[in-house]
Amino acid sequence: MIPNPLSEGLDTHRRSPPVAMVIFGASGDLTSRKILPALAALAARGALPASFVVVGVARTEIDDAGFAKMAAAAGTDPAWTKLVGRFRYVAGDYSSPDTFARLREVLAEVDEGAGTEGNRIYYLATIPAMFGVVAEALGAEGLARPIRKGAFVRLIIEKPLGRDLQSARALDESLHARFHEDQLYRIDHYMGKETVQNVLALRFANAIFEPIWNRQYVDHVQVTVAESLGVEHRGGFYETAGALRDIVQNHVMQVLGLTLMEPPATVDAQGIRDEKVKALRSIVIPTAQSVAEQVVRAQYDAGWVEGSLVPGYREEEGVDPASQTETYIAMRLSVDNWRWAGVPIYVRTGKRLPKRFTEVALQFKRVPHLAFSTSEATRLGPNALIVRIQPDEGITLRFGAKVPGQAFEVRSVSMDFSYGAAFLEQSPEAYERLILDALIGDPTLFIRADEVDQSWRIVDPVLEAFANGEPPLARYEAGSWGPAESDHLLGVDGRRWGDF
Amino acid sequence: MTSDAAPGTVPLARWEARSVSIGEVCAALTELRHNEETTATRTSVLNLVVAGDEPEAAARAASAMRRLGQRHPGRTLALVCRSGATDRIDASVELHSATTDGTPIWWEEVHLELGGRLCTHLASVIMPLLLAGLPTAVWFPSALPPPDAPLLGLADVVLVDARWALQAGSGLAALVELSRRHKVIDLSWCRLTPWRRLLASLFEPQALRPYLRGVTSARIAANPGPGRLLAGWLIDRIGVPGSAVTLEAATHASIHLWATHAGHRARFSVERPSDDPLVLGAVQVEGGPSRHESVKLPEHGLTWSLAQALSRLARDPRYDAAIRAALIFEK
Repeated sequence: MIPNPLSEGLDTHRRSPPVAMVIFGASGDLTSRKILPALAALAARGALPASFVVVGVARTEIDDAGFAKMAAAAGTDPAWTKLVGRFRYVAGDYSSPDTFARLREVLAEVDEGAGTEGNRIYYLATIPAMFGVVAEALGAEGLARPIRKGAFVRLIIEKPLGRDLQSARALDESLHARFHEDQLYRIDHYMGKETVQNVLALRFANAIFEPIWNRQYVDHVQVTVAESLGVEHRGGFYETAGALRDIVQNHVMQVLGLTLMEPPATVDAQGIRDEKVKALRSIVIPTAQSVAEQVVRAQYDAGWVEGSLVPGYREEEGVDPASQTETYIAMRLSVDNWRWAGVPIYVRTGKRLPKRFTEVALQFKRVPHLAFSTSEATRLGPNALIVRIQPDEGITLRFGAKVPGQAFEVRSVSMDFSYGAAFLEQSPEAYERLILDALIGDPTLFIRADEVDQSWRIVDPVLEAFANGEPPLARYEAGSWGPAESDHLLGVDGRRWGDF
Repeated sequence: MTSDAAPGTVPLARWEARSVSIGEVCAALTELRHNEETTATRTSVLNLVVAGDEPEAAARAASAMRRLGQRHPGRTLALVCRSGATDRIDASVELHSATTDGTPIWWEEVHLELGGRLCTHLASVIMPLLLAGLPTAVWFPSALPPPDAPLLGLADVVLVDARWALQAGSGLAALVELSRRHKVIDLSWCRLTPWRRLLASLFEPQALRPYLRGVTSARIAANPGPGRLLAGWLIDRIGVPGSAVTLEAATHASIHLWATHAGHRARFSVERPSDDPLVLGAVQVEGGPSRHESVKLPEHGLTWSLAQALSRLARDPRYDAAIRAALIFEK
């Protein structure tokens, strides 16, 4: 391979090589809402080469021009407009070998006409039941392996990666029957968020945080993923998922992995993912008894959220009026390793909460002896470090300070670092970042099979308990912070949600 | 790049005085900030010192800085020296605020007109005004600084602009020497990135890579400074002989390369054909396929290049090599 000395120092390593991206589910919501806009943004940033082609595959009967028109609506930059003229479309059923035979022909034409050099990325934006079917059909048609030396073939899939440990392993087996693990790029869009990645920078690029990031100083950890939205028009889907599968098994476990992990030897795909898996492996697998005592599940009733009266979950479109699906979950997790032994990890997520935000908070232990009198320090809380993941990305450090004046009164103040104010460069949207990583072949922010497996091992016993009606489904009013049982979960430990 | 006309931002608060001490300027900064509740939370990322005594360059820099504040909040110190006059400081201080993507940010601009001996003791004037612990960039928007310029000692990074600092056939030797002693970032080099990136991308397909080793001639049209940067880059990167490079004067930059491989001739070009902010790239292989790419230029080229430079604050070894290679064009 002849090097290109002109590209040195120009960040061209953050530019996609020539490639054909095949999107299965091309006429679907994920494609039009996320994938095509992300590609359009990449084109506008000059991250896509002229020899980049999207081949859409779906059952909807449209032609190349129809798909190009749909793609063109995703962006206005001339670079994108120019690219979409070459986009192709294959209409067909995923269970029909003919669909994949035609796809193979189209890909050969694209290689010849657009110079995509045999490089392929398959994006499975389909319903999960099709993941294994499409992977198998690609393999059967000889499309899962590179057609020449030096070319690459990758497969992107998104959650849900199974419904439980058993189905997740079955899915992996079907994918691995045709693809090697290093060809698989499992997306969790949380990993594409700058602030999630910033947890690594915060912990491992600074000398002041890591020394206190352990059981000696940390009293407990709180992870909150709060949503003000309900299930919108996804009631049917949500009925089969619930908060545990939808948020905890994937997003929360990924954030926990980064928060709890040991320093990696190197900040690369293997280094980070090895440590994340180790951290997840240290989380104590819940038992039936611990689920009953340390997990709260609940469902929202009607209430007022952000100034609007919203219906209860059971009144939502596509939802069973007697549904037992949880829209809220709170858990107390424990970690069995030297760093975190004895430090409770409280996790909560819910829909129809008062506002949308995601954060990780480390609350520190109080000083061993407070020299100030209680009247001087009435408003002094424990120190806390809060990593705000969305929407107001940043970090808050809470500490005590003297109130100006003659008296010696100490109270808590917050020092805020706001991502938006310090770095005003536009952060790429999560999908944009992750899709480019997949195009370039950097798997660091993608989820490895053993991470998925570990996450399900933690969640599986909880699902099993839910199936047995344990713990009983609590109720909360939309627009509240969840059921009283959730407050009680921390209350028995002498703690409170968001008390930092 | 598109024009850099001064944006009409209105300062949140302003103070100005004639014949003042630096202590009074520092006090004014503190006072203005205390009086504005919105500026209670400070997030600053750098000090930017602008050293220019040509009115045109100062106006250009002021316009770019005004936009830059919304991207790199910090303290900007603009200096104008009136040598020969009596020792004196006339100062104005402005607090600016803007909301970007819902995030309120603010920055400070200090304008100092210095007279007399102060112009030879600039470090003592500037040091008390720098925000501690933050990197300091010193920008010379027009000419290159003399080797003993007092501000160089304060600079973590020195910003220059070959577009204005290099005259036809001269100035490169001084730039090479400056770059040897200091971390230099050239805003022209930053602004040429889209041209360089597009040319590099034309050679990305493996089938076209062999032409990189068979470049027989190159024609570069640009302003004298940027033109020589591009020529030096090609000489250094792909070994085009200096004698095979033709330099021409033009308002907008363009690069044309002619190359041969296995008996085929190919022409690679990157050019901005009009004032439209679009650079076009093309490859034409004789009797073979052709490829076309384009890239849209960012708005407000000078501000963009300044922002790029300040985002990285790092030396580019390719630039250092390019200016050394371009010395053959020095008269």
